[in-house]
Amino acid sequence: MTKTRSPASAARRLCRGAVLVALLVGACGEADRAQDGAAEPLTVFAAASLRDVMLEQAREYRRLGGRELEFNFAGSNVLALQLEASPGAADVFLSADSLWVEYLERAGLVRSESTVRFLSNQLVVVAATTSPLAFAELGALASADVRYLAIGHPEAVPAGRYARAALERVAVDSGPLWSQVEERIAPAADVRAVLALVEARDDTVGIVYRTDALSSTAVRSLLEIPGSSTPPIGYFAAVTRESEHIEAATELVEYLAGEEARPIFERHGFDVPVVPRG
Amino acid sequence: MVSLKVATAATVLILVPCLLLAYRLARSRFRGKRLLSTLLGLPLVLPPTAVGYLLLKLLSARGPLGRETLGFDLDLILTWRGAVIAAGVMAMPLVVRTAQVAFEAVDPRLEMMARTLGYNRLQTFVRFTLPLARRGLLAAIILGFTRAVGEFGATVTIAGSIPGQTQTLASAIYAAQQVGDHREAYVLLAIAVIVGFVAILVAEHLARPHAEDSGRT
Repeated sequence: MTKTRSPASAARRLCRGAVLVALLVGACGEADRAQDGAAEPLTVFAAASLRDVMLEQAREYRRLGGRELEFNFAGSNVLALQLEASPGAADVFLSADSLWVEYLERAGLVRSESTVRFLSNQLVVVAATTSPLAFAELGALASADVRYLAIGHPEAVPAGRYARAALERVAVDSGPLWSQVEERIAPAADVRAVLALVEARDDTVGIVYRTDALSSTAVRSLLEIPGSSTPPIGYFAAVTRESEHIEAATELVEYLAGEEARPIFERHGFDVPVVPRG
Repeated sequence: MVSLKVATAATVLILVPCLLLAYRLARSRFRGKRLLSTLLGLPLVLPPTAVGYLLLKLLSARGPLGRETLGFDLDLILTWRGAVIAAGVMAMPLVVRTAQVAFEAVDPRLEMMARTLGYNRLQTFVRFTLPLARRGLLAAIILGFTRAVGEFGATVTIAGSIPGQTQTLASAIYAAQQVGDHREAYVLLAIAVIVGFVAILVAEHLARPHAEDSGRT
């Protein structure tokens, strides 16, 4: 009597179904690409902290007659490694620090002559809006009330590297603040992940850009970290070496570094460098 | 190693509820059975990050299971216990489904015979059904365990990736790759492949029908 199903045959059926679904999904992707019209959109790999402002800039850029922009938002480190793996995947790379642009310049994957510094930012310490935590100075982060300190991954994510640099520069009684809080660091994949963790726990503070603090109603800024205690926080734009739309990509970079883009950047809390960029 | 601790705890945590659910789904008909089965399957098809986000919002300070609603703190966010919850939720459908198939393969008439011999329901389940289905159930446990070891999206969303505390094999691979530390990523990758390979090998071996205990008479 064999009417009962064996687990193995069920598993086989499951596998066959999965393969079919994968093929269908692949076919859909091909069809989408075939529909592309004349003025192809530019693909922009942009640091996660630029998300809100770049979506608005994209609308403005389109309104002014520029090309449509398609985005891939992630930590600058993730984007740089993705570009390394697939150099033609983007036309423009917007990095939240110089490190990852230089990384790609060394690899010959972005046009170094095109690289401009187009924005600055500042770090702030944030907590959930409802959190009772309050600080007068950075050194107070060593206090026991703070269970976790969420930052971008301190070796990879620009915001995390800046945060670490700032904490290393502050001296408390027994050495740099960094070594006091290191045990309580919760490294996150990017600044948006930091915000999510801070929003979820009242006893957790995070270090993010001022612009991120402004973008979330669920967190409030406790303390600004003065620009003098971090390395200069600069956003860099670069055209990729393998872009098929070099001219359009260069125009976009010029727009972002120019006067037309300034009001939107400033409204989101970014600092726009006044002096020649680069 | 955090991964083993988390995966073991997650498997132990979900085991009994999963087996009971699987048995009920395999044996009885009841209102809402299909709905229950579909809901249980959701973590299998939802993006793990969606499950993670849902858990994060449920468990956050002001969420439905948060400190302010419950009056006490479950303390799951950014802790290894949170990773256990995430891995458990993600592993659950796999365990229930595999166990359900294993129970279905046990001939109900054997259970009925046991009942007529005077064993009560619980005794029948423990002394006859479980042993008869043991291979499929072991496969379910192994699959659930490896799913828990490999879980990334939901875990990293609610538990973060704190080295030594909540950083699992999966999130360590991601972290190594984020930093561009390819050496470490390769080592971790090799560990993951070996664990997965052994687990599937064992699970397949267990799941292969054997005349003696696949319920065929």
